[in-house]
Parts: sequence; C-alpha cells; structure tokens
Amino acid sequence: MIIVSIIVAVMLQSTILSLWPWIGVKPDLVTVIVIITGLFYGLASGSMVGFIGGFLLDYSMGRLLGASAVSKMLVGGLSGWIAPRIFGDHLAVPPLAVLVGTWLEQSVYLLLANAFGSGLPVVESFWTIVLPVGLVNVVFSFPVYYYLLALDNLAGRGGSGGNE
Amino acid sequence: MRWITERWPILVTLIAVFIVIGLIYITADGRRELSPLEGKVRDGLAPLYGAFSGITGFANHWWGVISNYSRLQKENGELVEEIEWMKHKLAMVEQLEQENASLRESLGFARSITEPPAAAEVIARSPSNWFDKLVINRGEKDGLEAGDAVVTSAGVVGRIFATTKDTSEVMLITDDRSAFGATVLRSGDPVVVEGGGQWNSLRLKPLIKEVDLQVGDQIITSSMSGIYPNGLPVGTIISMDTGEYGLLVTAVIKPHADLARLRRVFVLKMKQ
Repeated sequence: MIIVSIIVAVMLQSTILSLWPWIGVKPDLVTVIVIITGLFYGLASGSMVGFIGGFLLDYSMGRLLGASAVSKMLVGGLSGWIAPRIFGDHLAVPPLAVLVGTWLEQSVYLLLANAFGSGLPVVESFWTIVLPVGLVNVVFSFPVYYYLLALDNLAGRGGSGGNE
Repeated sequence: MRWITERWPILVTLIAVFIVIGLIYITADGRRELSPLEGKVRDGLAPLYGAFSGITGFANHWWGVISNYSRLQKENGELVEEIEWMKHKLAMVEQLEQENASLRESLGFARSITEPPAAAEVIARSPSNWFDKLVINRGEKDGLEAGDAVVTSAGVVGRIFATTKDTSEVMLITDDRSAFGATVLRSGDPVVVEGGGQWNSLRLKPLIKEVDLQVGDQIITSSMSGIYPNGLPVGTIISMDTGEYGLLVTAVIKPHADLARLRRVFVLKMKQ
C-alpha cells in the first residue's frame, strides 16, 4: 500500500501539484512518505521504501536514474535510525523529521546531480529549491503521518512507532 | 569462500552502489530512445494522467471564473473591440502572407514549417523541482517526432525530446540541456539562448564581439541552429552582466510563454 501511495504521489506531483506551486516549488510527497515510513517502521523499511520511491521518481523524470533512489534511501534509513533516538516520542517529531530530512535529501540530490555534470547553481538552488521544498513538505507531514497511521491500523499492526 | 559468505551484505551493497552509479551516469543527459516497456508504461498511464490533468484544469477554470467574474465582464467588452481590430489586422497579414509566399516561390526559398501545427494538451510535468519537462497527449501516431518545435501563442516553449505512440516528452527552453540560435529583434544581432535549469529565466550569450543589447530588447528564434523556425518570440532581456572590464558576458531573458502554467501547446513539424 505504501508503494501504491508513492505511485499516486508521483502522479499528483506530475499533475495537480505542478499547477499550483507554493513559494515557487511543488511539494515532494514521496520524500514525506519515505521519512514517515522510516519513523514508523525503522531503518530497513525506510531505506527500502526510499530506494523504490526514489527510483519511481527518477523513472518518471527520465534522467539521472538512481540519484533520487540514493538520496531518498539515505534519508529514509536515517529517519528510521536517528529520528526516534534524537527526538523521542513526541508530536513534533513528524514535521521536524520531514523538515530536516527534506533539506538533507534535496541537498544530497543537488550534489549527486552536479557530480554527474548537471551544472545546477548550488547556492541559488539551495535558496530557491532546497529550503522552500523543506518548508512546503512540513505542511504535508501531518496529513501523510495520519494517512500512514490509518494504513498501519488497517493492516492490523497498530503503529509500531519507531525502532526496529 | 567463507570470507565471501561472511561479508555478503557488504558485497551486495557494493555491487548495488556500482550499478546505481552506472545507471546515473548513463542516464545523466536523459534518453531520446525509450525502451518498449517504458513506452508501454507511459502510454498506459497517459489516460490516467489525462484524467488527473482534466480534473485540475476543470477546477482551475471554475475557480478563475468565480474569483474573477466582474473583471472578466469588463475584459469581455474590451476583447470584443479588440477582436474587430484583429480581424482587420488578420486580413492585412493574410495579404502579406500571400505576397511573401509568391516572392519566396519566385526566389526558390523553402519554408521551414511544411505542415499546420498540431494542438496538444499538457497531461503531466516533471514530478520533481529539479528538472522541468512537459508530457503532451500527442505522439508518434500523430506524426510527431523528436526535434519538433513546441510553441504557444505567446512564444516558444521547447522541443520534443522523446516520443511514445500516444505521448511526447517536451524539453523546455529553460532546461539546462537546451541551447539554440536566436536574434535580437531591434539590432538583428545573432545570439545563443541557453536554459539554466530555472523555469523562469534563460541565459543569453552573444555570438559577435560588439553586440548591441539593451534591457527590454525582444529576442526571437533564428533558424540558423536548425532547431526552431525563424521569428518565434522567445522573451525579453531583463538584466545584463557586463563583466569586470565592461565587456558583455551574459544577459538574462524572461520567457514570453508562461512555462509554469502551460495547459495547451502547438507542435510545429520541423522539416526543411
């Protein structure tokens, strides 16, 4: 169900969300799903969902196939491993993890894209893409959190809430 | 053997890392040729994307109608007057077109556009903020192919980069891989227009040493580079960087076409 949600997220990002950019950017729902999956199910699940989600996003973009897969896998894994240790069990964890995780994910992608010759302006991209995407993603952190919680309850797991 | 069996997770991870690095490297510039499976997936998803896009367009349209009703009424009156004036201009343009065609024929010039433009709807964009692109609902079965120019009434949008049976992927003029020949409308000086990866600006580089440029100059396409036909509006110069010693280095152009909110485009077949 999480993978189906990621496919729907990619389609939303390609259509509806592309038409109404907020503060100049569209939200990266895939990253939000990956980070919150990491918080729910831990390092291995976060990494796996991050890799698959990133790969689907790369496939849909048609270039740098694997770059988002690596950046999202890294953030999904870190979210599952570090976030519960640092933040503990608190309602502020999802938005904080999404904010910091998105900034990290977007920065890693920027570095990877430039390492493979994309020539994106680093400082300008940081101000116009990396920072705003993090802020926009925070808005979606609670809806995605409660959506994944509902999925978890539906699957009868009752919300593992963090560590593996 | 024991060394391998004890360390298989590390080895598998290393192999996966090498495969991913290879994939990123191979696909760094995008691919014109989609595999048959990719083509089928994209064609299969096209109706779904079309439906999503249709819902968005419907909501967008009615939101615009409701929120701008009184302004639209006033605009309507102005537009009726403008249509009358445009009809008069159109008649003049048609006359000039006929004159132009007969002159070209007598001089033996070929037109760069040989077929009427194909209208297409934008059904999807890039899902990422990093590299923008469009997917339109016309493809190989409509006779489109890589290299065809994509425009709106406002100006040039980009060109077709890859096609499937039912869809085409459009590389925008703002794409970091895009570069084409253009002309400064006022001075006629040749320039190169490059995409910088940002959706709302283009970079201009002069092709001659003493180029005559000003902020506010209109830039149009040139058929010199063989990418776009002559005379399509590109954008307006909004700033210039003259460098430390006063020699012009680059200028920034704001595209005429609203690339962030495209709904419908026209595809021009590029044949010499």
